[in-house]
Amino acid sequence: MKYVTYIFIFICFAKSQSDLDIQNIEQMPLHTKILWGENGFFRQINFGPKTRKDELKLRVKMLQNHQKLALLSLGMLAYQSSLGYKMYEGDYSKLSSHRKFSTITWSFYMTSASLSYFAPPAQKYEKRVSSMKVHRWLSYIHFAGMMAIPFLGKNISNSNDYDKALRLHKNVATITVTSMSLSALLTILPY
Amino acid sequence: MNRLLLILLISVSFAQKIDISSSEIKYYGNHFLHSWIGISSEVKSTVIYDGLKKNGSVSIKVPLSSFDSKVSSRDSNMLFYTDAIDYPNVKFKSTEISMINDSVRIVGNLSFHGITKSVSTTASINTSNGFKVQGSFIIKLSDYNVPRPTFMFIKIDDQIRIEYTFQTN
Repeated sequence: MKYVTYIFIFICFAKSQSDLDIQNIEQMPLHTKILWGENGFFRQINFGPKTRKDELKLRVKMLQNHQKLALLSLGMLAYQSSLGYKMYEGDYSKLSSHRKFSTITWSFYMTSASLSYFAPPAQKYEKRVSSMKVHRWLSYIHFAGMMAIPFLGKNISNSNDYDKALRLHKNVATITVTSMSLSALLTILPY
Repeated sequence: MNRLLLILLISVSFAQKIDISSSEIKYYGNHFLHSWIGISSEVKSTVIYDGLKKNGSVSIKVPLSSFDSKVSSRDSNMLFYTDAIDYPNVKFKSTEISMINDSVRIVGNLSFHGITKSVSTTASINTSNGFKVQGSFIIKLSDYNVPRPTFMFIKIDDQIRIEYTFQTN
């Protein structure tokens, strides 16, 4: 009888756990699958929280910090853009500020992006398009932009075609700021 | 004939279980930047009605994971803040039901996040197309010790409106 009770408790526990399995796991973003999937990198090296509950706790903390740092990064990026535009129009007095500030902005942005990309998986994924899904798609654009901007900036002084290199840096920066602003705006949409 | 009368008498005299063909529970969340609705149709309910005594009982169970707010990351957050791993369901069991004309007043215990509190609601009854019961009530997240999620440094509203619809054909 004792064993029957144990088996019953186990079945009930297993049932309650499986009820909270990740929904639509096949829709999990590729980067999350690579890191946190069943055979993901973090699972292989036994890194991260031991329970799903702690994973969710960590996820929420990481995403909240991502939100704060992303807002800060967006503000910094907007300031950097204004400095960049002044230089584009011929005022080079802000060159050293633009250079110095770029490292801080880039570091804040990358920390924020890491907090989002490395966060443990959500409890639910979906096939349909939502504001948060577009937010993630836009992140691939501004992340690529942020990776390229420092090299394109350095390339201006080294390039044989100064104007072309400057235009390229400016255009990539504009696309990056625009996609990041849209990405931020999308988070306030209800659906 | 006597046998038929006896069956009819028994079916009217005793409490009957009403089969609910469709049910829906909605919760309305609010933040100063936006509002949203989470909907669940995976509601398990038992409604017993006693025609003679004009009373009955209602018990409802709905898994938190079944609520869909159209943004999966928000649903995930909700499951985290409501500790859905430890408390996967929201349950309601009536303690008192009284009919008032075309509506029904239901008092009962709502168990959510491991805390049970008494709630009362008045539902309208519509019999024009089958049998439809509709109503709403408000709960406070703080009453159930559910921490409020923060978005853009501001917490969501403490009050959540719950709307329910049960229908039989």
